[in-house]
Amino acid sequence: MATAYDHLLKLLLIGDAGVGKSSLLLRFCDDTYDEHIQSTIGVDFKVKHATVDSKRVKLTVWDTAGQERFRTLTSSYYRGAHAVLLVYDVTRRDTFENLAEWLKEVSSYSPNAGEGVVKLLVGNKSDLLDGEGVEAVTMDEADAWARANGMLFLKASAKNKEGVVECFNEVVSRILSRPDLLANSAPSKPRITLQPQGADQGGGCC
Amino acid sequence: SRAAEFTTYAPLSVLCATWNVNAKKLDDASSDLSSWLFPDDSSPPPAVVAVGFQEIVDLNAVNVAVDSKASQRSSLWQETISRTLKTRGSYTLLASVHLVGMLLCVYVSAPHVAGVSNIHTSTAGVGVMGVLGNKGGVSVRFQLNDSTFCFVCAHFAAHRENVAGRNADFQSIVAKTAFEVGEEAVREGVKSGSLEQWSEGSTSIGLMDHDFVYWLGDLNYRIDEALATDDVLRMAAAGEVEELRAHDQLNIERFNERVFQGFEEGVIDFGPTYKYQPGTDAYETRPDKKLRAPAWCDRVLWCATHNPNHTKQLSYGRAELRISDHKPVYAAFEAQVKNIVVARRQEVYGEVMRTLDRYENQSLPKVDLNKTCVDLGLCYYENKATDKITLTNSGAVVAHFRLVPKLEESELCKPWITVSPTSGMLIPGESMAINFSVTVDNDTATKLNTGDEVLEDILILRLENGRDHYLTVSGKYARSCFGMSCTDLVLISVPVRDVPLATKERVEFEKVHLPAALSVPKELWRVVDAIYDKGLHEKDLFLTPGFGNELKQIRECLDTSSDFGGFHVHSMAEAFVTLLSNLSTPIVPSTLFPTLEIDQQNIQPWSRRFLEELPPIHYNVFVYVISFFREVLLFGQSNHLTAQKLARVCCNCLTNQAEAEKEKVGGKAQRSMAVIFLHFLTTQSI
Repeated sequence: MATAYDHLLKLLLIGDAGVGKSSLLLRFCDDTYDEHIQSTIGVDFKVKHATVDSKRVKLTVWDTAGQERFRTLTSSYYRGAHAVLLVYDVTRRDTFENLAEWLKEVSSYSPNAGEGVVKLLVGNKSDLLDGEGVEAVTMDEADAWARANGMLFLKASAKNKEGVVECFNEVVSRILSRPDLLANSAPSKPRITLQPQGADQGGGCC
Repeated sequence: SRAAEFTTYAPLSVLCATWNVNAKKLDDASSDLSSWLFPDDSSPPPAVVAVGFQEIVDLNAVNVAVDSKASQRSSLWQETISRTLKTRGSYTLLASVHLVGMLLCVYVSAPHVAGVSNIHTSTAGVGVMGVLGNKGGVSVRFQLNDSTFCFVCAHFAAHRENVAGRNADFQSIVAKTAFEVGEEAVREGVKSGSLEQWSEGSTSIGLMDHDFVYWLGDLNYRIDEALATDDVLRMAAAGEVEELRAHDQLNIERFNERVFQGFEEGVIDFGPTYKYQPGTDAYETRPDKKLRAPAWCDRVLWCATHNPNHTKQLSYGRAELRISDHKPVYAAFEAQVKNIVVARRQEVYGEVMRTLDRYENQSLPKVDLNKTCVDLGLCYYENKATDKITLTNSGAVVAHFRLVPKLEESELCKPWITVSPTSGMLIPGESMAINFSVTVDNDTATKLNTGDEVLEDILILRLENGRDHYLTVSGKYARSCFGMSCTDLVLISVPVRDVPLATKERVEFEKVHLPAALSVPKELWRVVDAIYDKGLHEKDLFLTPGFGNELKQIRECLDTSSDFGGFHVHSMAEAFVTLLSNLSTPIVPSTLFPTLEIDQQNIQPWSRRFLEELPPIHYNVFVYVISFFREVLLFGQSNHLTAQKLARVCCNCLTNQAEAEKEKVGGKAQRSMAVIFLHFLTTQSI
């Protein structure tokens, strides 16, 4: 169970409801896809071990609720995050236009007004463009927006796998190149157990 | 454990050769080392050749301290070996390392050069003071394909009786030999399975941290002293090898596990290699020389650390070169070299990682909720509405849950919600309900009426070491006249229930239903009217509590402007008192309480001033209530009420009865106020 790793990194997925944050999480961590995935009422997370730039990293990927009414609650999850993935739906322009609001959240709740985290813009559901889906935001426009806000832009499809691993690898690679972010990434338990009697974490394994 | 799926093995021939040259140089005639390095000409030349020498220079003080002569001799020997190797094939010198008299040169044949990486050398002196190199070991390590090799050329302590010293030399060399291979090579070693349980960030490895360790050299073990020197000489000359082997110190020490633990050695089937008369094939027996019992000083041992079957010795013998007092020894091996198919390994590695990830993710606590929203529908004033959410542990581990406050808040939820339990534990498969109840008390009603509050809140349910669920609790307040202010109530001519709560809708509503301008709230009027109808002669009217259930129905009738049923007069009287006492602002604000003791002298002016200062609607209500009570007092005979009793009722329903407020105002002011109420009830001053 104790898999060795060099860094423990926290990644946060944010963006409007329905853009596919949970699907990206599921594809990346479990390599599965669920057409009828439920909307996230709360904040979910999964872990994933990966090797990037010959470093072994353990990722905890946090998937937040996108619904407007939960907006005030999700701010607490920015604490300790090394990277934030801003996700929009390439076929829904409103989800792109709301990115400004999301970026404002990042600036408010992340260290150094958002400079203290790695940011990546992810245009999800790229598979829809192969069919009858209409590209609501041109790649150039998304790329320009990302650049202007100090991040990289990548296209992805949780459904057909395109670009998903690349997104996460890119993010991890950028984190690994920033010593200021790695200071608090030494391996440890992801969350401190509050009740001592509940310490049989992972009980019944092996 | 799945290494077999991506690992293949291929045989590799290895030759180890060792010779104590006794500081002698080769003359041209004897410069061919073929008989030593290629003892078996019938098989193809070995892929790896490791040649070790001892005493390439005299072990005198000068040579121990100054390296120049040893370096010169090293080059000389290297040239000779190269020349010999060239006769059989193309070899590359991987590394050579020397320490005083010890020299180790490792060569690899051309086809295998490309597979070699991470070549490192190390020296370990264990001679005088434990550091100088008159005795010790020199080592070369490298990786060939995915196997790691380490060759050690050693020279142990001399003298027949010094067995313990030789054993100690072995341990010292093992302990002292270290290769600074770097973090990357360590990681590579762990990945290929050559290293086990390696500590994080390590950059250096030891002698035994290799798939193959070959140990050669003048180990100086002799024939046990149980055999007399003369007997040894005789038996050595006669070739009685078997008998001598039983008395070999190294065999004895290894059998007792005092040295070379884990190592193997082939059976010696050749005569002792020491001590010869240089230039001859005869043991040294000349009278002017010290008499030595012949011995197998020169040996080759090996250890295939991960699998003993991975090295097979093909031959073990000696060559009959004559310049030294030792005969050179060789040992040929076949080693099984690991070859990891990288693509396949990555595939397997990826699969394993995915399995581990899936396993770890499945080990996260998981709880299913039958719903995430509790909608309590219409919530009535002072009524408790309840519902529950059922949690079921659908995961593989015990789930500890607790409700946690939102960021920067200290309470779990709004005050109008009560929730239980707020934490708990579920074993897999177990279910538990979290109960929610919503009660709109007067304070909450006041806020809801003004639109400052809505019946909606989100609670955070946290699974320890797991995810958060958000639970939404909501309801729709059924607006009531209770908890409103009299100034607001007089503006409403329609049923209070119909007036929207949200500011925006209320504004729209008021455009259609223009504000009324009643003198007293219609609800108050209706209650008074109903009490009149029932008659004012009921004993202890206003002092006897009503029926709770009826009170609720009366409230509903008031809020919806529907007709009263046949309610008991005491219930109506209580409705009258509570309607007034629960107004969001009391009829008589505490600022109007007298600031001094009221007596017969000052009661007239105080009462007058009091009436003047009452806000207009409050004035209306006050006069209305006092007039009504005076009417009630007319029936004093039957209802047993007195002005004093009703003055107390006035205090209860017309002033703020909150404890904190009462304390602020003070007992004296309250008593004075009661005197004023009494005054109005008993005189015609209104």
